[in-house]
Amino acid sequence: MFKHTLRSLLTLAFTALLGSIVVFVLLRQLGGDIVTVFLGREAAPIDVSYMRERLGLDSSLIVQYLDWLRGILSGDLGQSYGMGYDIFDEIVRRLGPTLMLTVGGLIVSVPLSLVLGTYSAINAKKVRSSFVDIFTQVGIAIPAFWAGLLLVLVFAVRLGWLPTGGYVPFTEDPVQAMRHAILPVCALSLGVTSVFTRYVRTAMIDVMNEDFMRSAMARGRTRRGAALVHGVRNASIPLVTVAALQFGQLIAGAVVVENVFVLPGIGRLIVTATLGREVVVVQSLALVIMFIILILNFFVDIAYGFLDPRIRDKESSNA
Amino acid sequence: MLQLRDLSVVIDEHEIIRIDQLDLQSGSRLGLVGESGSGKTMTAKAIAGLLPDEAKVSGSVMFDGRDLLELSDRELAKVRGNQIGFIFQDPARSLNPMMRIGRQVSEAIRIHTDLKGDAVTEKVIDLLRQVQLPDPESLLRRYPHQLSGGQQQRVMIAAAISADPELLIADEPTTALDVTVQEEILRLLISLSEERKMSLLFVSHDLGVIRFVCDRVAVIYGGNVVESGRVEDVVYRPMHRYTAALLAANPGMPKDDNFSAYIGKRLQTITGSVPAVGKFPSGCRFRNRCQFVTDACSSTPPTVTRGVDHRYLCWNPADGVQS
Amino acid sequence: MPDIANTTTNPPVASKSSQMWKRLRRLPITLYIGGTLVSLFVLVALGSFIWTPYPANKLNLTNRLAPPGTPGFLLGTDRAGRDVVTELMLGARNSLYVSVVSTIVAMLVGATIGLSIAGSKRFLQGPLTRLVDAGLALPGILTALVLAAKIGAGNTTATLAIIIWQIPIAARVTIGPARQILALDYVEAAYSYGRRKSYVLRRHVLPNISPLLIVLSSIMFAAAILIEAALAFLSVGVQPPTSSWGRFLNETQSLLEAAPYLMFFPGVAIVLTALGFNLLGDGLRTVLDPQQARSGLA
Repeated sequence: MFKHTLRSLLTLAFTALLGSIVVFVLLRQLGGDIVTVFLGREAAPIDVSYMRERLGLDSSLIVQYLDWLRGILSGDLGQSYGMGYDIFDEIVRRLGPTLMLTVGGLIVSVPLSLVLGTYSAINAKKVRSSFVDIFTQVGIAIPAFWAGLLLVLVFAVRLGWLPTGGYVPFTEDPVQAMRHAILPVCALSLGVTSVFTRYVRTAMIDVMNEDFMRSAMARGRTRRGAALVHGVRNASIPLVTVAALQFGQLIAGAVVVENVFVLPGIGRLIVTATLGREVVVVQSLALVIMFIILILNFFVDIAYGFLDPRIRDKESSNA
Repeated sequence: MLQLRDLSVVIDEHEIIRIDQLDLQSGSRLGLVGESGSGKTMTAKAIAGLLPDEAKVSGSVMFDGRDLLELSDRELAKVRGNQIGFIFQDPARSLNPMMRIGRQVSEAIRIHTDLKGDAVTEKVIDLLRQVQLPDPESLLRRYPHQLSGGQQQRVMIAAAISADPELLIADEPTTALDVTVQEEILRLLISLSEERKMSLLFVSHDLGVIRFVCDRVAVIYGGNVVESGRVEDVVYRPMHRYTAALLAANPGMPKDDNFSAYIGKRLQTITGSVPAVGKFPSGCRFRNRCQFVTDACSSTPPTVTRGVDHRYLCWNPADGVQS
Repeated sequence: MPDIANTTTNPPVASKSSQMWKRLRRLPITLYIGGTLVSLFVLVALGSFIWTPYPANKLNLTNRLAPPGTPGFLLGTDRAGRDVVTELMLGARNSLYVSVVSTIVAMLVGATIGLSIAGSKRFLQGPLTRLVDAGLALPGILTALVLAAKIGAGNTTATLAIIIWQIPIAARVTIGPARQILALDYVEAAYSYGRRKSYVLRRHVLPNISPLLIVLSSIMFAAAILIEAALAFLSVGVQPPTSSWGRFLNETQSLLEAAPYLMFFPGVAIVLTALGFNLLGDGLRTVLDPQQARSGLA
């Protein structure tokens, strides 16, 4: 177990480092100088040199990278050149809505897809499972932003039950916070739930074909009973692996949904910074998002080791 | 106690199993023998409704006065594990890798009895002791992969008999195991059957193993029981040409209980291979591989009874000649 | 279980055409629905080069926000008075363009990477696969945003981002099956004739996994269309005056009160197209890779 954790930690550190280098080099080298990108080709030379100095672009690329890395670790990412805000503080300030969205999305989609996928797998050859299939196929095809617009149109504009957008922190007013969260979380969850339901279904069907399911039925379990007692437990292993891939999709969805519902989160920040051509801000944000995904993956990796007794044993006997 | 009548299993419009009559007396041990693809495993599964949905089963399977084929899934589940226990070929795959031994052995107890808590644990420990596993208390909390193949099969047996079934169906229970372990498991099955007055339906491709374990045998080919009777009758005086060929292919068969002398010798096979489903000839299903085929063989052979319950379906019986 | 698939009863005597009928009827329904939706999409997209009700970006300033059914404007007009049907047809064109380019490039590059990893030295396979896995975790929209910040928003950025996002997907899906085929006896035998690895990969492995790649392409098309729309919606993708379903949707966002019906047209177009490619992929999998599909259904 210790060895498994250590290896996951090393993978995390390695991919994080590699990712940061890729992001940094790409953003600095690709498509010209970042000052020209921001100020335009006809910028006054004095502006250019001032900005270069502010961003520390005169030192070598390696020094710039190390400075940036140190900044991430010490909480100092400099300031937005265009808007003047402190980048690190801004990211911290905007974590709230994004966390609300992604965590809310997980809370809704994971249990829902477990239920739907299991139901569909147990009834795989029956007509009723095709309703789940139709739901997931359509759910995957509906982009989160359109789902968001539809929800706003029906529940906010037409029925007036819920606000059209905006963000209220939970600490400020829990009721309003919930009211503001419902539609964005639903819009985000639709696609994620659909994709995950299909994974659950496949994993469950694979497990249902295992010999030990037949043993369970031979001991007096019904098909459904065997699926619930043995199937869900065993299907969780392949599911945990694909769950990691879903985090990226979840965050991508959050970026889009934040822009539909005007939520002041990371996603909106990165789109605004992108359109303002603030390479330095985007670079730091991309890295923060990447780190979040990698850390989530790390936890999934650890959970994987905890779930499967075979991995647990193999590792401890090796260590 | 178990009576199969006109049992028929149809998959995709092919009749894969057709058994007119097969009986298992209370407390007796019946062997079901045949090559792979003969339908022996499918017959065992059909008895307890463990076949996939697309298999259409008809006829009757009378068990303790009830026709199992008439029961709903839910009612059948109450019979399985409770009155009929099962063990399968590959214990490593038949045990859930992610569930502790204790929970798997106690599963049938928890489903079929009112026992709770410590009473269940005690019973499981007792069962593990009965199947001669060492240190049952610590075994409860272990996982299947931590055991050897033989130990795993003992766990499977303990789980199968945990609710004290009247019948244990064993589908090739030793095929996947080491030769040295096979005999131990077989002896365990015999003694459990005797101590508990538990009937045994023993499925195997190996007549020698069946000779060792069972008192009665049914030879199955192409989904038909071609010969059945007491083991000594069938083994010493095979009538059906298929049985005779099976026996001739295995000259090392023990004449007594000296099993160790036999085991380890690999099974010989009969020339030709079992046809694919739906490719069997009409009449006697064995006739395309039979060296003693006659003109009569193209029509369905009659059931002939000889002596005590020794039945066979053959136009040109071997009459004890192994060939 | 007997091998049900390989048994053949004497087939009923039937004319060739009725046999063909039977074969067609046995094809999965998803293939028909998906195929129809996809053909419709391609037809509309290509048709827009030949004919659209109005020229691109023809503004009818007197007829702004005309409701559907207005004479001359089947589905009405948008805020600037552009014909909705024309806009949708041109949007289909852009969707098709971006998804074709990105899927083909990503598939070629990704499959090549996947094959190379499968054929690489054993000790390299683990780390390389992990690297591909790390690439899988990156969301496509993030890549697009990063690119757009540096090289600017536009179709090229969107296409490039989709390619970068899809390469690890294509690679990852290729590695496993390619490795399985490399382990087959007859493939191993090819080495004994003195064949080189690249030859074996090209002539033995690639043909065997091509059904899988075709299925994957269809699903990648759907994903590309969804991302193209999302990027256009965020104004990071294609720029005016080129029409796009995603940007069209973005413009309708402020019209939820004034002309709520407008948001349905591009939305439905996106959903039907993505659904079509996904269903087509599903159906193709059932036809091309029956073994896998059956295990998924059984």
